[in-house]
Amino acid sequence: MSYTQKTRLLEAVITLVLLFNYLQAVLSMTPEAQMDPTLASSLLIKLAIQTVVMLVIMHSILAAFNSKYANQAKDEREQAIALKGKSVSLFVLQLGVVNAVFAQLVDQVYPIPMSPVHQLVIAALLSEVIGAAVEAWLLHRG
Amino acid sequence: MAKLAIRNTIRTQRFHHNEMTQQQLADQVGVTRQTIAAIEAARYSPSLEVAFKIAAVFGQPLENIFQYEA
Repeated sequence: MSYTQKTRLLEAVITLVLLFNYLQAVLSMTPEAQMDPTLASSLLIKLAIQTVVMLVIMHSILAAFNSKYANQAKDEREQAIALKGKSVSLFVLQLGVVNAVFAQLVDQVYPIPMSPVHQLVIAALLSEVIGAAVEAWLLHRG
Repeated sequence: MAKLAIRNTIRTQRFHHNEMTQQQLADQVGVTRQTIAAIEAARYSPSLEVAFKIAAVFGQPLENIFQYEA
């Protein structure tokens, strides 16, 4: 398994864990609490801090065990695969944005019982998980 | 997965160059071992730059390493 593959696989796992934590926190809130900007921003700040800390730890551990490859740039095949992964990620994000805008327009939390702001954050996390997983799979396939 | 129309003799060339490993070739070309494995198995077509680098490592013209099968 190449260094890039390990990195993307672990990024997918970490983002998936963060996504579940965020979902759990949002679904445990009442609809009124979900619309509260103070609560939403504190949840977002918590998510940002968790993401940065976990990714820094992951990259440090990976670099410590793979010092030879840690500083190497992606080669042409890895760059081409990263581009494919990003296009899948962008498609998922676009779906999430369209869904959140639709929910905002009809002025109700449809089709998911969640405020549009949280739907956007979840779409961003989900797009990152799917993009990283697709990239890791394509790297594995060769 | 469908194989590409570009065939190559990298495996043979590695054998004739003192059984060079994929990792040794990858280090000389400046790509990952997985990329060399994908090129060798005809699952990935390299750029012209990488193709020329591979040919240069073996000291052969490009057409001896890569052949197009229409």
